[in-house]
Amino acid sequence: MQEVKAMKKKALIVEDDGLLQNVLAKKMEFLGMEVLRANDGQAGYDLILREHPHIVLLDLMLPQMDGFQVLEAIRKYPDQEVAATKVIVLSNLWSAKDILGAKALKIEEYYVKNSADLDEVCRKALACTVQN
Amino acid sequence: METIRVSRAREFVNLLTRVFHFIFFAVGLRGKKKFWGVVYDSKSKQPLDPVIVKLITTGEEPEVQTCITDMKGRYGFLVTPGKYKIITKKTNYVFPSSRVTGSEDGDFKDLYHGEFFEVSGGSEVVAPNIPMDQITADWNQEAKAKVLKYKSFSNWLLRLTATFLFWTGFSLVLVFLGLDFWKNLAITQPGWLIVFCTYIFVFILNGIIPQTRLWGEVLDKNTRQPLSGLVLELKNPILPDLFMARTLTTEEGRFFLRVNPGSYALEIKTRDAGGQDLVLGRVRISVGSEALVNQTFWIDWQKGV
Repeated sequence: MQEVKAMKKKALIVEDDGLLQNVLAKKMEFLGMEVLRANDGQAGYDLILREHPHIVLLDLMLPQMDGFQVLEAIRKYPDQEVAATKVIVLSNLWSAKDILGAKALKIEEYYVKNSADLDEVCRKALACTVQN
Repeated sequence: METIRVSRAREFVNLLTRVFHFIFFAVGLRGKKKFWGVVYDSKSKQPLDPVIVKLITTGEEPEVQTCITDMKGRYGFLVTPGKYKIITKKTNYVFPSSRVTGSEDGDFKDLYHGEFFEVSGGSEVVAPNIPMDQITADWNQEAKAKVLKYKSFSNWLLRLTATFLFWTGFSLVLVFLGLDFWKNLAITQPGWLIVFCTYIFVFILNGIIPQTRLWGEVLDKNTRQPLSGLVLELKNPILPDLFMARTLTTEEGRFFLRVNPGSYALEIKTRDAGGQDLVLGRVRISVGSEALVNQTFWIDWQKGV
């Protein structure tokens, strides 16, 4: 059992909406991933530093630290492993300014919540971990 | 090679209905244009997001479609005839609302409270407004309230003024015509009669010009038949690797594609026997404040494939 767990890819969901967080977590667990959760940007940032997840699913509108601040902080972090953390953004912000701003911070993918297929988002997250 | 053509006739009809709707709305003959359903806070009237909205039906596989509301609480489903129910879920909120239980709530008409409903005829867009009750504080909604403006006071004032002038004018015309007829037993001032007829013409137009349709369609240019099972993807021209919205055409070739206002590249695809996507064509389109794509697209299938 421990061996199976050791093989599991670790995903972190940083999302303040508990319901959406649950839906995403269930889908990711179904895909065989180990899921960590954070309800705000600061907690998400702390978990990234401590747990080194293979992939982070990040909302942008978050309490404490917003998603952009989290992205900037990890990209500037001295530890290369943390700085290179793979991130997928899932947000309802849809303007080109927001999307380009996030893309400039080297994210894997940007999904707009209201047009995203959550199964596809989770499959993409898994695919990103496989590339690790 | 041009394989997709936007129907200019349909675009013209859409433009006309939008212009007339604006006039009828401004003078108070019509309510707010309904393009989408909005999930909103029953107390603050603020749109809610993200809300998971599920369309379910009776049968073995009850869940038909699921979507997430956008920043303005908007959602909608294109459904085929049948019996359906909508369920909404959001953290810190409950549905159905016990605070708002009627069919109207200020600006929000056509309210939905969780009952089954039937869709008959052809496929149609289902998008009632849905109130939800807050049970605990929600950070997301509070943060959004600080940055998003939902109602414009100046627009409200302009509409109130236009409505007042329209109906005052109509009342004056009736009074003057009545007085004229009472004094002379005939209409002696044709000017008032012309204005009266103009009002009647506007009322008739309001009765016959339909609301803008909520769906678009894809048709074969050669056979004029609807094309079903096609994938439509909207991409931001400056971010071509990111799709902003995606949908499928129904058996009637119809689709419901909601997206924020702006310019987009629309890509229409089909899937071959091997499961590979084949791009039939691309076309640039603009989406206005109605925030949906409702044009008719003609595909030259022979050229495209």
